Amino acid sequence: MEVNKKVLIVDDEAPIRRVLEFKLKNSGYQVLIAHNGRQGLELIKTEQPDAVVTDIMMPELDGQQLCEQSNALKQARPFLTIVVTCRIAQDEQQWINQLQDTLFMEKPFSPARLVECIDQYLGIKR
Amino acid sequence: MNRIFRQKAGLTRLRFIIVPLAMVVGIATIALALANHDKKQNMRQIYTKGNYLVSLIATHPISSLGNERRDIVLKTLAKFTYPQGVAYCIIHDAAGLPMIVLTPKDMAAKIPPAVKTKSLYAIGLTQQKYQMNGSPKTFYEFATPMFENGQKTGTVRIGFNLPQVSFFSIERMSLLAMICFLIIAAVTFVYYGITQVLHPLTHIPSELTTLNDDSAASIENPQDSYSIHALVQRLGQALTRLEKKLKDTESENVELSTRLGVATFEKNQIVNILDATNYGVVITDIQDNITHANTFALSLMNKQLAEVLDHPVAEALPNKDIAQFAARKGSTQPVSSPHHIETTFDDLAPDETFRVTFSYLRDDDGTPIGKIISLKDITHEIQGEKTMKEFVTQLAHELRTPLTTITAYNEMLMDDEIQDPEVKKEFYNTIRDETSRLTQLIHNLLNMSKIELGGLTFNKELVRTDWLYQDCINAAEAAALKKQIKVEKLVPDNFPTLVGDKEQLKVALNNVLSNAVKYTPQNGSITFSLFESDQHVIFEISDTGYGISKEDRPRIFDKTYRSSDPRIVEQPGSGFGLAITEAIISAHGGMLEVESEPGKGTQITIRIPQEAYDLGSQ
Repeated sequence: MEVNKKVLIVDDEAPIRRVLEFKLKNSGYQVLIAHNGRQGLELIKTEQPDAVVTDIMMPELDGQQLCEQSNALKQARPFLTIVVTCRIAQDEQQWINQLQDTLFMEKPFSPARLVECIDQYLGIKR
Repeated sequence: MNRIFRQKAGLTRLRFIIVPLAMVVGIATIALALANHDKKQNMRQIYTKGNYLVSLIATHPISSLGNERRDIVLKTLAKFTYPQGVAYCIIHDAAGLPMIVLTPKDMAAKIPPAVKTKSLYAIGLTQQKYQMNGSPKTFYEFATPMFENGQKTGTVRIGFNLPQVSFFSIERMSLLAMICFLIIAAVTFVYYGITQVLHPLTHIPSELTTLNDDSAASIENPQDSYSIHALVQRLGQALTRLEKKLKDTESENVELSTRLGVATFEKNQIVNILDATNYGVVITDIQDNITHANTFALSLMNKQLAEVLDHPVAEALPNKDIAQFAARKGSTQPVSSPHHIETTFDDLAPDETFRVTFSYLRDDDGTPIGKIISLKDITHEIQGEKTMKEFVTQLAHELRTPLTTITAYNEMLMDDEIQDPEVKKEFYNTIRDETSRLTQLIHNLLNMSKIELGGLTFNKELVRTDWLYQDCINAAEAAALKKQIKVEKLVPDNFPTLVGDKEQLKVALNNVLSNAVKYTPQNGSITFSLFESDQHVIFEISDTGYGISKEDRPRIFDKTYRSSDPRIVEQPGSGFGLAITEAIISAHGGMLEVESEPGKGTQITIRIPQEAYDLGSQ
């Protein structure tokens, strides 16, 4: 089922990028890939994805900085951000809760569950 | 007690008799002395007059004078003829017969015959004392011979009445009265003066009765308290009590001195303990003025103790956080429990953090009498917490990332979403690689745990270094190939052997080689050398990688530390590979040396003794 929606994957781990790309493409999404936060921010601005899946621990610009800097763009054009992380600290959940349309998903996560979240946000029914 | 009162009353009555009697006797004695003095004075006058008159008459014999002059002399003599002056004047001729007799009418008859007729000159007397017949009066007679032209012509005799001295004369009575008045006045004045001087002493017993001494109660009559005897008695009692009190005070002084010595010793001990502590202590009074600061706190303030004593703590410790917290705590916070803040000082490094704790000093009633401000340097604690947090985060990331990959890939395969056999194979390979990565990580974690707990075991064996070298280089070459990194091998013709644990040495060398591959960019090169030197086997691993920064250099063997360099962070790794390597090499008695230049590369040299090191029974 082809979905005319773009999902941006931001992760420095190649195996993660690969499996998410595969799963999202299988679900009919157009997939954009970024290796770090800086590339991801550029693609958010230029490609205007409908959803962003990002890791936190990344070189150059980490996931928290990416989310905070891209949050301002959501007022003009809302989009979903799913933060996948292995951190368990409470302060991490706090800054995620303060951002618009941002979800928290703890590693290890299920690719199917991730796609369900994106489908639900974008109102896609299968 | 009644007997004592009766005795005291009798003494008082006797005193009222004796004192006036003594005064009368005294006055009488003085009067007698005065009368005697007057009598002697009169005697002296009579002797002077008598000698003068007889000499005068003898020098100018009346017989040779003319009638006119003779009358004058006689009249002059007559002037002296008073009851208390000249009684008579008789001039005898050479034969002793009275020639001229000047005397009152009945006077000549009263002169004793022996005196009348006797020639004084004949017996050689010039003066004599006698009593007139029938009269108690005493006469003094003065006589001297008269000469004219070298011939004795007669004798002149002049008798004098001894003046009667009246004991009760008006003058004497007046003088005595005046003397008595002066004596009484002087005695009264002296008594009053002494009483006034001693009056303060009357308070002594009453003040000292508070000292629980019953002897002061023996003075019952208030009037008695003003007598000198009573005062002296009181003074004596007071001195006794004072002496006793002085002894008590001396005893107390000795005890107090002992206590003071003990207290001073204890205080010095406390000060020494405070100075020996590795945190600052500032003690203030309730107005926040400093009463003591230990050495640590003084070094923090960069001042001497004398400079900060009695100064407000906000002035000596220029820190806004402390001043604000102290003010807020003083006004709104309960005084029961201690509180603390964390702060930094402008004069120190920005990351040098202190935990400042406030608590109250209290007296026995629990009333706050001051504050204790303790300052503890928690820089290392904070750094440790931060490092540990980063370590846990990094470890969680390193564990969960391969786990996530394995889970996701497995889910995809299980859901039969992968149709392409090549992609399936790729997915299986990825699961295998990530499992291997996870296994290696867990293996490192266990090793690290064993090292820390002292449970790392070694199998002592003869290790062929050619086999060890080959095992290590194979893994490194496989990883280097993916990044197109050139691997250069430098080995001797004859490989040496050593005694050690081959598997553990392989772990140690693989960690170093793995780092070399990870932190060397594409198209770089790695050199792995092995040679023998001085009974040591030397392994040298050099690369053309990112190098180690000066900041990271001291902590590369810290298991909880991983560089914040983005080029390092982007590579997977736990951060304790080198820590494990160092522990293994140390267990073999070897050494690990690191030389690195940021941007150019790193060389790590491992020296392991061939034989000498004993791994023990392990």
